[in-house]
Amino acid sequence: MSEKIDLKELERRAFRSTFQDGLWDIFLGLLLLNIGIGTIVGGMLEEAEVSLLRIMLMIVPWPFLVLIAFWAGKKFITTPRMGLVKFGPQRRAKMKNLRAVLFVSVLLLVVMFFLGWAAMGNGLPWWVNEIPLPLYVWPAQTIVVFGLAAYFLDVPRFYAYGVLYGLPFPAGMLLVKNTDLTVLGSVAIAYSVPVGVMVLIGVILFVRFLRQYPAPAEGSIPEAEFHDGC
Amino acid sequence: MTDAKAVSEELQSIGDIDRLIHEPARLMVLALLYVVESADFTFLMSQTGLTWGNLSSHLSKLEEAGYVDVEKEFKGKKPHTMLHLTDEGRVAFREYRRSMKQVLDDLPD
Repeated sequence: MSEKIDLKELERRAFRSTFQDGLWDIFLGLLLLNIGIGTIVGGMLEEAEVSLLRIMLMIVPWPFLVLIAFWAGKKFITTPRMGLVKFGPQRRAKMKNLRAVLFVSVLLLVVMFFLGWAAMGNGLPWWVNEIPLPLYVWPAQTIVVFGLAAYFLDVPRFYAYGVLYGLPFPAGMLLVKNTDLTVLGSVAIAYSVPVGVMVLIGVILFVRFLRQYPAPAEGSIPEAEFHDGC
Repeated sequence: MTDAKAVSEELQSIGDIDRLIHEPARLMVLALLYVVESADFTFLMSQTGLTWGNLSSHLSKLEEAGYVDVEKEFKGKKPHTMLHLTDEGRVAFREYRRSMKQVLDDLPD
């Protein structure tokens, strides 16, 4: 037996294990897919002169459906297999900090993105006008937001997801500008690659999780028997 | 002091190690419960790889010793058990770590 039990690493591993069911990856992939579909459908409907309110009504519900599916997956599929755990005060404080930092970061991301967009061509320095702001503001901010999440959650693959989230917007713009592809085709290609990568990783992790943690058989609830045994 | 007596005193520190904690499966459970606030039966099973029978038996011993406390609750109609270390269990685990470290550090290469 090793004389060293690295308790910090043990806690980190236990915490990280709650992110190994693949549902976060699928959720983030589908959320990005929603942004992509929203961009395409929104553009098409706008061309067809459909009112903004109707466009919003058609686009906005989808992310909520993805969120509900994620919640249901956690509650009914993965948590019953993996079990419940409450982490200590230090981890809870870290999560609280993460929530605050992410809230401010996302707020800044939205504000800067729209300010940058609105400011384009309005007497700003030449280098700002030459380079479309969303081309670098969006990726920089998604990398920062996902980087913070990866750091606080100890989930390294979220660093890569920051890049994948930042990629479609500038990639779509570059494809439109430099190829003969239609706007629709460019956007579809730009989104499908990162979405595909995230969902694929999620599915692989999910399948591995289901194999590793089979569902407890009906009627054999360990807790109930343990109650009797005490 | 005779050599035999000195050896006996040296060995005494090994004999003082808490045998209840020293069992590998119980040590795994205690280490895990030490780093979290509480966990349910399924989580302990999934993390330690112990079978239900094994885990149940070890938890009963730890509970009898006053190291682990069991919170019984119902989630809807289903019974649910959350387990956490008692203060006594935390002290015992810390003491076990200290003793083991001392014993192993003192061993010659």
